[in-house]
Amino acid sequence: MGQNNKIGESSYIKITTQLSEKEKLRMHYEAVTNNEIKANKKQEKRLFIYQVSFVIVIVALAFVKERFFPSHIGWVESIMQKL
Amino acid sequence: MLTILNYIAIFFVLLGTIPLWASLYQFFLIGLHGIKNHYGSTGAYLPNVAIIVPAWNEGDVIGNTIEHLLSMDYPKHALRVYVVDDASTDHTPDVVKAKHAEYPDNVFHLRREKGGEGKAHTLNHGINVILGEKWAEAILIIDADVLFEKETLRLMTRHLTDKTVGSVTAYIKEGSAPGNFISKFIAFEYITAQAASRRAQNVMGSLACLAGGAQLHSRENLLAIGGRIDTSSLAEDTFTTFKTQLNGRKAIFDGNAVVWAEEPGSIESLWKQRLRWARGNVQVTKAFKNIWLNKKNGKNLGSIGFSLIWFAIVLMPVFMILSSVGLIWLYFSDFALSWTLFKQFWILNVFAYLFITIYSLIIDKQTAKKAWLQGILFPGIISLTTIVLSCFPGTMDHFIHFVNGMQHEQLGLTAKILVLFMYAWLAICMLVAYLAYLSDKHKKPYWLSLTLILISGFGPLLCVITLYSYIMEYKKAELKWDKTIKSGKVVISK
Repeated sequence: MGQNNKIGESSYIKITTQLSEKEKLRMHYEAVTNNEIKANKKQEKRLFIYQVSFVIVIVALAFVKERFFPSHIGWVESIMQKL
Repeated sequence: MLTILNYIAIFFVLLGTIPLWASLYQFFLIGLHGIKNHYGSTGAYLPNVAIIVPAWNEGDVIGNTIEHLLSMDYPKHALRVYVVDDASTDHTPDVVKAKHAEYPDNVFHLRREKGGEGKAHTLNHGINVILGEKWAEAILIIDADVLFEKETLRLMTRHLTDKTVGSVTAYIKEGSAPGNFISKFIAFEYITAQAASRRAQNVMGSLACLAGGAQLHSRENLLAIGGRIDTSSLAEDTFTTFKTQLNGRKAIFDGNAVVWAEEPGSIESLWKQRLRWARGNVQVTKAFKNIWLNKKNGKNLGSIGFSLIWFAIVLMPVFMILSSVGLIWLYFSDFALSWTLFKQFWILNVFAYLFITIYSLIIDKQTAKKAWLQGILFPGIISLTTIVLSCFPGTMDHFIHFVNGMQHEQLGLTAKILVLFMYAWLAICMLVAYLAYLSDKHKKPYWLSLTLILISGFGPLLCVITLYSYIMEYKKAELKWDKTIKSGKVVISK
């Protein structure tokens, strides 16, 4: 019983002990860093999406341009005929 | 019938497309950075960081730099600033001593009594002191005039969680206030050369250069590469980058870690800075001659992709001149063929220009707002006109009355002059850029040098500097560390 009390007391003390400044700082920076990593990963993924969309737009514009203002260049014409 | 000389001429024209292929290759890799990046291996890591600030007569800017460094969002107890004063003759020592009195645990003044030997010697003085103590777990090398954004250092140190990473570099942005046309050209150039290219190099696993103004090394990495910076060349940053990677550690670029720097605002000062860089690149190419196209010796630096990118820059003026020579040769020997090649070359140029310019502006929208015009004018007005005309090859044919199989004798005089000029432009544009430099150097009116640069393009200016660097290296000209004059008017734009 006495031993249990001791265990109970020590646990209570542990819970109520205030975090040291260093630990607080560490936890703060851990949270901040995790958020930054998430945001940066998202940002990089966005660049990938922009790139794919952008290439599609360029190819589409080239197609429209060739349709109305043909270049009369062999390999361009052969691609246009296949499409 | 094509003669052997014609085949050589065609080969020369194709060489001119190498820089375009290299740029396109890099720009396609950037998208992959969304999937293959180092963020997955990072985490909160706040080592003791010793910041080395080499300073020679930086009295006007050093106080501001120290204040900015100490105001970064990083635990103060883990931050020390070592200003290595390279025998300054101005008030630099007084400013640093005053800062030491204000922050005795964070700011330290290291004085070299014999100075002027160059940045690498200055850095080594600081590195010796820092490595002699056990305190520092990471070393950040910066320039005296750069400004770090509050979170930049933390964004860099997080990569060192991964012990295979030896060094990390940040994105240096042009921050002159208010800035001028030249500094805005540089702002745009830095998107392509850093924010874009270095992301691609992250994907390739081989970084070309840690920016001199923001390179973070783990203590282990600095010790592994000999505990010192190379002093034999003008490209000490690139030497350090290569040594890090050849030693088996990664060098990482973090495009979200931003540092602001004041870049040259005149063609003359830009020439000095870039000539040093270009000569440094030539020296690195020679010093690491065993790694090129050799993965066994060069690891990822020896890959075909990295060698392509490296030589596309180092040999760009050669490629441009040979391309012109090839086209002009074919003009006389087989005009129809030369015209077809010319049009194909420029169609590739149209695609590369559109893709690189617009995507660069997307990558860094903040810089795009202030430097979009410089981005558009980057190739110069004449090349830009050719790019626009190349979208309509039929109109170009019509203009010179081109019919298949025709020879140059059948062209009208105006068409002859025009076509020859366009063929030669790839080489001539460098000459015009050189005239812009001479005009600026000899203090001719600003509008003259600016007009010449707008005609030639900013890219050709960098090209002619590279060409000039070959001559300087060939002549074994003195390795002079010309310090770029800074006004201290750099601001962090948010």
